[in-house]
Amino acid sequence: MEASSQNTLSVAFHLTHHCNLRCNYCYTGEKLPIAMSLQTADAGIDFVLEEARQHEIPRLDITFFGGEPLLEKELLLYIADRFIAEKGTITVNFKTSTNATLITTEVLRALNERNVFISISIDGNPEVQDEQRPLAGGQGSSRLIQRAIPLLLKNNPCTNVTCVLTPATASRMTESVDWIYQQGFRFITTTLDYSGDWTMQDMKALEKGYVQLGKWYEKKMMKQERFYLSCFDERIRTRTFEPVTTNERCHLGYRQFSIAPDGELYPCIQFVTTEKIPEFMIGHVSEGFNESCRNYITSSSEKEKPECSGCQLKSRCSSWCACINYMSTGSIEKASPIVCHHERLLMPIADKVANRLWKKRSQLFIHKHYNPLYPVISHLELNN
Amino acid sequence: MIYPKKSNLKVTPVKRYNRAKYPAFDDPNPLDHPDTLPYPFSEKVFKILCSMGFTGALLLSSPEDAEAITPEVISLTEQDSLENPFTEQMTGLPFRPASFGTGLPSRLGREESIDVINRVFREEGIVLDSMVNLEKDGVVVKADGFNKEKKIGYVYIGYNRIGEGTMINNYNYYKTRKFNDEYVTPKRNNNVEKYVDKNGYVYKYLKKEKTAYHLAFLKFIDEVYPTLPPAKQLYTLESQYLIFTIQGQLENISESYPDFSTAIQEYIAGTEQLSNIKLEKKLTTLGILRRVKGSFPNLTESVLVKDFIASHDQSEKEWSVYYNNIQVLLDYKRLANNENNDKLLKLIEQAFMESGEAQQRTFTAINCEVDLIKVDLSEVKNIASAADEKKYFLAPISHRDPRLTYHHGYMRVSPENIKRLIAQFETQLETETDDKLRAELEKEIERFNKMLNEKQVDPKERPLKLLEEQVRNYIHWAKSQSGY
Repeated sequence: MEASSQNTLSVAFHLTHHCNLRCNYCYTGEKLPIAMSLQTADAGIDFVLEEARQHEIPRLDITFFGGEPLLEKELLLYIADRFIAEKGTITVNFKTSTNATLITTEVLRALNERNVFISISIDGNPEVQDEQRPLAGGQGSSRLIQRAIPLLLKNNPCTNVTCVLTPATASRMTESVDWIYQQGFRFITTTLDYSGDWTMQDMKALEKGYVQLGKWYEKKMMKQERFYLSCFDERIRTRTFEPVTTNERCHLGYRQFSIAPDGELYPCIQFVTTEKIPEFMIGHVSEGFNESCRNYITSSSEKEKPECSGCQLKSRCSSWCACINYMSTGSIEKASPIVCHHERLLMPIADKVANRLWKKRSQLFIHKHYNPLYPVISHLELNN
Repeated sequence: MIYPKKSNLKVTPVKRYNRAKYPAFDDPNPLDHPDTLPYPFSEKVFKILCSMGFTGALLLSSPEDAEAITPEVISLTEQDSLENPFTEQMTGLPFRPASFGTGLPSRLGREESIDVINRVFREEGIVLDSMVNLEKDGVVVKADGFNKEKKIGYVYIGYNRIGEGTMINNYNYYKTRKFNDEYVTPKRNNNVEKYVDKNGYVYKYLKKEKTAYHLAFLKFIDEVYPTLPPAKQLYTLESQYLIFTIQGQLENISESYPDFSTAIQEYIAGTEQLSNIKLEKKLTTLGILRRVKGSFPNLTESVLVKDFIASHDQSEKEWSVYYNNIQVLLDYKRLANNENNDKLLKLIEQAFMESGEAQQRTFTAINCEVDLIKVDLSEVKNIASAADEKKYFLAPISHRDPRLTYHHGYMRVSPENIKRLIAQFETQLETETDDKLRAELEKEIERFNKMLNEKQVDPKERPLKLLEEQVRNYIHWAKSQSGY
């Protein structure tokens, strides 16, 4: 069997609905101190292992999510330990997505012992961070983040940072990305707040921001600095790689699902909120999947989008992503206008940057986008 | 869940888009261009790679080098049709397993190779019997297909069938275990101190749990452990830890295999009085019993398992031989499954139900069957000399044959995707009214159709075709030698 996404089952354990931050754009509803019980966690582990064994899936990607998953770190470690003890021949990879405020040496050691990959969220320099991601009491969270950064980078120089762009921060994106880069992070994922109220004016500010960030990207590439910046690298990838086929997508509810703190199963992390969404509950760890609901969601999300008919960017766009569509339109079947505008403004900027790098025959550009060994080599370099 | 109500954004298809100028996935890879510079390693990493030997060389080389076929092999692929294309050299045996796989070529699988081989024999009018044992100088080889009248056939040496001498390695884990050897217990990584760290997660986790054995271990850490003299602390903690782990394993087995748990319960009784070495043996025993039950879910009574449990109080050697024998049987069970060999499977099940001489006889029968499945390097040589002497012509077709490799086409387009894109453009063309756009679409359709017709898009196509040609050549060569 080949190692591909088709042979992987990705499961997110939402350990709690609670969080110590109150991000302006958070879509997961009220922050309630509702954690996953040990019984639910046990039932979840049994369910996932049974699902993998029954379908002969050789690889499991387990993500610990929240709220803030490190508020329940003992539960996280317990779940990881049980998977390690009982995985048998299945390969299990762990990842957690955290706001980084609770990172300590002890936590990192415990996560390292279990090979849990850490991905953190930082929105930018202290000013942006404090404005966008305040603590529950209203104070800024940048002080805590700055304390955690050296620990994280010492632990893993390839730690990934997710930076959310909102209408309020779009125009400051270059400063934000540059600040994250200056701290030493080399894997930066930018994403939009798809649940936000984006206007045409915001989109113009976003476009201006990307033009500026494109120049930053080009400058770094010409200096042969190794880094990953999703907004440009992923757009360029849509041209240098074959278009994503239906088979390679996430297959909502089949090759990926989320377990809420109460054991309910959802097709993706974006649907797990404190305000329950019954139409997206595809089952429960103790009862299994509700097949009709699961089938309905998958088939609805893969339907052709008539509003995208004739679009020249269709094969390079991510309008198929059901959860983003839901967050922005309230329906998984409708293409998101935010995604549409975003791709329409970003794709030409990314292509122009890539054209210029290609014209200059940038050595790093060619290897980054056409050498299949690049991911391995760049990791090796960053770790040395 | 919040989603925008005020936003005035709408989905608008892009009707015209200036195509980017940098190479796309279906253009020639710029790395193939002779002017492309190698990867710009930093000086520090460059030095490290230079000191890494083979792995470093692989990373320093271009990706295409990894699948390069040596000139020697190329000359053989273009050989005269009346030469033997399946010589000992072309089996690629013995081989050194790669410790670093990135960039290495993929190899044709057993099923797809056998389909091609059988088809060519059929097309050449040769009917093959399957699984025929062939003997020469006392060495027996199991042919996958053989025609007794024409004395021609083939043996496919897939990964499961590689036998003694076919792999060059320096590591113990590649060694094949044999019956009646002693098993050497690996040194256990002692990590028990973490339990007494009362601020640590393990202690907190123990506090959350409510089972009897969790509570007993917690009580030990809280009450008994601090009162012990320092010299005794670590040893006693380790023994309590082992008892705790055994109880955990036991609970696991009891839940998963209730019919199996009574015998184990008896085996565990009296654990508290044992030395740490014996406790560790019990833990190892439980581990393998769990594997036995996992591999043979219907096995409720097994003489071998009972003898193994009873050997716990006998000599270390006796216990370790039982342990090793069970591991060998479990390894061979996997082999039997992979090769669909029912005979071997039945023999393994039989061995679990026997003891003493009867069991030794079954072990011998298992060894014989495994020996027939495995193709040793000496047998490959024997096959070659059988052809030299015109005794029989058996093509040793190996999965390590350097001609039968391919690259997955990491950034190459698959035919399915080309067809999908063509269909997409054709649908668009049906509704498009703008003449300029129609012309562009037609141009795209033409370009993709051309690619579909001209480009060799399936990476397996080349090695499969080559295999077909070489099997045909082998038949012609064998015919010229024997004149059948």
